[in-house]
Amino acid sequence: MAISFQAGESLKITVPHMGRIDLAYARVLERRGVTVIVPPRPNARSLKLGSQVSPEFACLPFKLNMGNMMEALEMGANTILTYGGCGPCRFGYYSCLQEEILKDLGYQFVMGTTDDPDRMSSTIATIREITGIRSRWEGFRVFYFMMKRLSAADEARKLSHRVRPRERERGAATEAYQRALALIDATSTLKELRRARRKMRRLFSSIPLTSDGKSSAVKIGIVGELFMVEEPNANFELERKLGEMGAYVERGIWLSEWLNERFHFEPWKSARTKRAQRLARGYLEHSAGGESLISVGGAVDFARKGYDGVVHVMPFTCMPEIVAQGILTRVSRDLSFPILTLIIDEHTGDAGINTRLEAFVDLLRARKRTG
Amino acid sequence: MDVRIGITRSLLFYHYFPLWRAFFQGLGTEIVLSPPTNRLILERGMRLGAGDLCLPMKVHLGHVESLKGKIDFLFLPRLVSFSADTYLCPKFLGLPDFVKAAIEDLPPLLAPCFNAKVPGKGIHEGLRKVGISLEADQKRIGASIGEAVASQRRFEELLQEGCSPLSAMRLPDAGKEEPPEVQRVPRPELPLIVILGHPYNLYDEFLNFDLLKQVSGWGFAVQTPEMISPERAEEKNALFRKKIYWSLTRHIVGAALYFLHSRRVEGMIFISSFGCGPDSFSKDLIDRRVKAFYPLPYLSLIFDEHTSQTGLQTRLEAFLDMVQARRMRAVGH
Repeated sequence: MAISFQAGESLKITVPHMGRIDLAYARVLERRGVTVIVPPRPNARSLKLGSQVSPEFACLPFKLNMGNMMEALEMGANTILTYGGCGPCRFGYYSCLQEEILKDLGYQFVMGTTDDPDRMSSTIATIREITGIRSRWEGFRVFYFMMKRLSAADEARKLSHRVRPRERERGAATEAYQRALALIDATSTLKELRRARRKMRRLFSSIPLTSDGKSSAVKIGIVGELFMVEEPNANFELERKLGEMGAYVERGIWLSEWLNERFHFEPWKSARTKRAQRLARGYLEHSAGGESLISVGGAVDFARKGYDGVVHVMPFTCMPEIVAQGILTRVSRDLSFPILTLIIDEHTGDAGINTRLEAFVDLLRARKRTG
Repeated sequence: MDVRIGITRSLLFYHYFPLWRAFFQGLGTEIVLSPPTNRLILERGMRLGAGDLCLPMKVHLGHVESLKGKIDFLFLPRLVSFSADTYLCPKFLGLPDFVKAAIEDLPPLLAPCFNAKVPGKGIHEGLRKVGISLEADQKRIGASIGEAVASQRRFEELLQEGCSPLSAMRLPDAGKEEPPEVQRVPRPELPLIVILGHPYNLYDEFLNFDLLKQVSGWGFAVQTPEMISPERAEEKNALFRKKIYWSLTRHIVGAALYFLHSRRVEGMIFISSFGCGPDSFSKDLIDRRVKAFYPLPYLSLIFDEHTSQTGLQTRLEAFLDMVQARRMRAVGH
């Protein structure tokens, strides 16, 4: 990727949000002397800004990204870094269209994309380019640290899922999760990160729990489009809500694992796509792009593992997940396994989601009682 | 061979039927084509395709349902990619699975996977596999594929000469043996209206209330992306930072730019389905470029199962009036 600048201007980088990927790169790059502008987490304003200028039928992640970019440009960013890709989902074309829209609006910036997102080397090259790191090894070390930070953040989330349904004090797990993220963010070496991880595990295990038996709680799997699963502000804090209703939540997809797979970073770690492909056999024989296979395979997996139900979350008009949605209705019927699909766009309201989640959890409880 | 192969008059029928037809005829099988889309097919499709499916996909399910019981095999290829750097819309990638999930008691499927990105999954190899699974002999399969490819090429040539796909296919009318003659559309002396959209939106006369004929009935020449050669469309795609990677959409956008730059266009209509993913982007890309040709009359129509003929009629008439008024002004009346 070549990034060119007008003379005299220094690099001010922004990356639109995708889950907690900011936790991976922001501080790390700042310590290397790069000016990083992290836009506010996707919020009502970013959604409003983004929806106003995006095509009506663009998917919600596009609109939220768009809003984030506008916020970051207002904050002084002059370079947007984002991934490209070559289909079949719309994500690969986001940056091209977003660049056109923003430039038509009069914003001045450089859009840096790598259209080869599946190669670790292109990401490392980008890191070296913006930090000025000469050695490849050093570039890899920075990248390695970022990946480890991201998987630590995912671990914190997993721990919060485990604790939340049984926390004695409402909100304790969420608070511990925020503290865990701060711990991870403060680290600057792998050694510190390992220490932070141990500390964060202690943090979660010290949360006082209710004495209710673990076995009575319902267990819910979450699958769907990655951005929507990852972003609490886009999915109406699905995981927290389900947890606070007393349900154990497990996800079928994690950002760190997903990136690990794309990059072949640590190939010995579990490859969800391969597994999903096997489990989806008979339902979806060929990927329909995006996370379609993982959604279908993941739902089958949760059914086999004895979970009580699955929540499938997707943006309105998401092509791969529409295919998955159609197939999941068949999976649900065949395995007599409750699956709730939540389709979200800028008009979706909190109350509507709450009602549906409560009804779903009630249904799962009733099914569990009657066996 | 005494086998009935079902082919639906939906989706890429308007693009590939001559290929499929020549191939299956070459094998000596009987082809059973679903009827042109009608009210019943649409209603069945809506019932089967709950969820967020787009109209063409719902209608496709209705077509499949209408063939049940009349055929021995349903031909339902999985079209993944036509060239190394393009895909079809994800819904095509999962189509056979989707149809299987939606419809009970399907006839056995012939669902070859066509994926130009993977060696051994091209059109030839895919058709060969279909031939083998029908137990045709190798020589005959080879000859049929040759005939199919040639027939498809002739079809595409006719389209580029300005024939509508339905006319270029020369489907015999009910009860008649002889197929009708091919009709060429463009009449250079008439003002030109360009209608953009996916073939299954442009040429399904039931779903779009025969939009193309309505427009030509008003005294306009109508042209569509199919009349532009792939090379010309491709040339215009080079204007984007990154070429669009959905093959149909890439062609539509390229053709739109070609039409715009050729400056003979008097009005442009973009038709798409409610919630169409690729169109959501391509329409925005085209909209931005049409603005440079202000005040070119430009109409965007979005179809779903609730679209009414009256609503469409009103908008179309207003649009065509505007085109006429502009022409009048231009010649100084």
